[in-house]
Amino acid sequence: MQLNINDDISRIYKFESGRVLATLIRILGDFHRAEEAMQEAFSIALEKWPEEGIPKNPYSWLVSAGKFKAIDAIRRAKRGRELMEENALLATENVADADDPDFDLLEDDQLRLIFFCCHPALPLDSRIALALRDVCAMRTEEIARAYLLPTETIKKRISRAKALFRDKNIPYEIPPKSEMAGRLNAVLHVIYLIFNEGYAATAGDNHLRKELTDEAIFLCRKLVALTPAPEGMGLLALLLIQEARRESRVTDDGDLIALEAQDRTRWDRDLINEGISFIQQAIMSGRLGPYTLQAAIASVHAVADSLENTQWDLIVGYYDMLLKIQPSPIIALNRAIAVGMKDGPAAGIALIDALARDVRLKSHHLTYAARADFLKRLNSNDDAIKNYKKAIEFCQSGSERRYLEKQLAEILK
Amino acid sequence: MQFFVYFTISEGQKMNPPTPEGMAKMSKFMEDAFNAGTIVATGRLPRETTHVRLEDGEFSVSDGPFIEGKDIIPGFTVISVDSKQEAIEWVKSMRECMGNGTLRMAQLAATGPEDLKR
Repeated sequence: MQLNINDDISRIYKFESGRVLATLIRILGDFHRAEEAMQEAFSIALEKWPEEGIPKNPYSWLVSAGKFKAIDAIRRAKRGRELMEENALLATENVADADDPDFDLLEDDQLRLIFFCCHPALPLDSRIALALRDVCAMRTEEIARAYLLPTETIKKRISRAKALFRDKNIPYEIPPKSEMAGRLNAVLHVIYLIFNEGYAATAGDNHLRKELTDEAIFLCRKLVALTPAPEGMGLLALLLIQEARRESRVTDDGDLIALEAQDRTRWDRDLINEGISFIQQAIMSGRLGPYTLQAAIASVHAVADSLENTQWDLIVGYYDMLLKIQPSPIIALNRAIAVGMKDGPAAGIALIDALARDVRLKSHHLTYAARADFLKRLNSNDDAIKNYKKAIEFCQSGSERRYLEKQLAEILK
Repeated sequence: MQFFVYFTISEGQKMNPPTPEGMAKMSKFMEDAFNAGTIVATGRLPRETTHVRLEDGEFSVSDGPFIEGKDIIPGFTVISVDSKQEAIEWVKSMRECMGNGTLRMAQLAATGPEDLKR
C-alpha cells in the first residue's frame, strides 16, 4: 500500500509539477521563488498524502500549498517591500482548476513555461537543462546521469540561466505573434537536441538513452497539445518514427546496426502510424517545414520491408523539397546517397564527387563513408578501402567509428 | 451546410506515407481552402479520450478509447459548402492529393450560434 502511494506521488510529480510550477510562477511573479514553493509543496504532499490520501485535485492542492509556503517565506523575511507583495498575493483568488473559467489560463501557463525555459537569450545547454528539469520534471541528478555529466555541471547550467533571466530582465510571457515563429523554432530545436542525445548516444545503458528520447517525446506532445503549430506536429512525427526503430539500430554492446541489417519486424508499427498521421495533419495545415519533410523521409524508410524495396524516388523527392527550404551540404549529401540507391552506385558516386568540393564536406566522414559504400557495391575494393580509412580518420563518434572499422575489416578479409 | 470528411485505418494496418508530389499538392490545396473559407476545422482524433460520466448524481472522469473497436480516425476536416455535390467535388480533389484510397464524408446536422439568432 505504502509503496503504491509513493508510486502515485511520483507519477503526479511527473505529470503535474510542470503545471504547478507554471501556475506558481504566474501567481508569485518570480521563477526562483515559485520553484522553491513547488518543491516544498511536494515535500508536504509526501508527508501528508500517505496518511490522508491523495486529494481529488492534486494540482489545486499543490498550488495552494506552494502559495502558502511562499507567503510563509515572505513573512519570515518581513521586509517592507515584501510585506506589500504578501498583501498582493493574499489578494489573488484561488487557483484555476477544471471547473474554473480560469482553466484556459492553465494551458497558457504551461506554454509560457516552455517558451521561458527555451528562451533564445540563454545558452543552448542551459535551455536543455531547464526544459528537462522544469517541464519534464527530471531531477538535476537524473539529467546529469542521462548526459553522463557531473551533477555540478548541470547545476551550473541552471544557475547561469537564472542569473541571465534576472540580469537581462527576460519577461515571463508567451511570445508576441511577430516573434512566435522564431521562438517556436528555438523550442523545437531544444526538443530535437534532447531526443538526439538519447538517440545517438551509445555510451551509457539503454535505459538512460530511453529516458531522454521519452522526455523529448513527452515535451513535444505537450507542445503540440498546447499549440497546433504544423512544425511541432512535424517534429513529433519525426521523433515517433525514429523512436519506433531506436532499439533495433543498436546491439546490446552499443554498436550501430546498419539499416539493411536491422530486424524490421521489431519496429513499432503503432508509433510509426501515429507519426504518419501527424505528418498528414501537418500537411493539412497548408504549410510545409523541414521537420515535416524529415519525418516524411523517415516514414518512407519505416514502411519499407527491406532496403532494396524502399521507395527511393519518394526519398529523393523529399530531399529536393528540403533543399529548397533549407539548403545544407549534409542534406545535399544525403540526397546524393538516395539517388545512388535509386539509380545505382555510379550515379551516387558522381553526385558525391561533385559535392565533395565543398570544404564542409571535404572533411566530413559521411562523404567518404557513403562513397566507400557505393564503391564496395561496384566491387572497387581498393578504392573502397581508401575511402573507409578516410572516413574513420574524420569520424568523431565512437559508435560510428566502430561501425566503419567493422565495414573496413570485412573488405580486408 | 457542413460536412465531416474523414478516413479510417484499422489498428496495426500499415499506413502509407504521402508522396512528395501529393504533399506539395495537398498543402497548396489546403492553404487555398483555408483562404476561401471552405475549411471550418481540420485535425486528428486521438485514440485516447476523457470520459465524463454522471451516475446517480456522482460524476466520474476517466480515460478511455474514442470509439470501441479497432478502427481509428487519424485525420478529419470539417468543410462548409453550399451543396452535397460541391462537397463531393471538394473531397475528390483532396483524395487526388492523397492517392488511392477512400475518404468518407458525412453531412453534419449541427446547430451553431448563428442558427439560433434566426
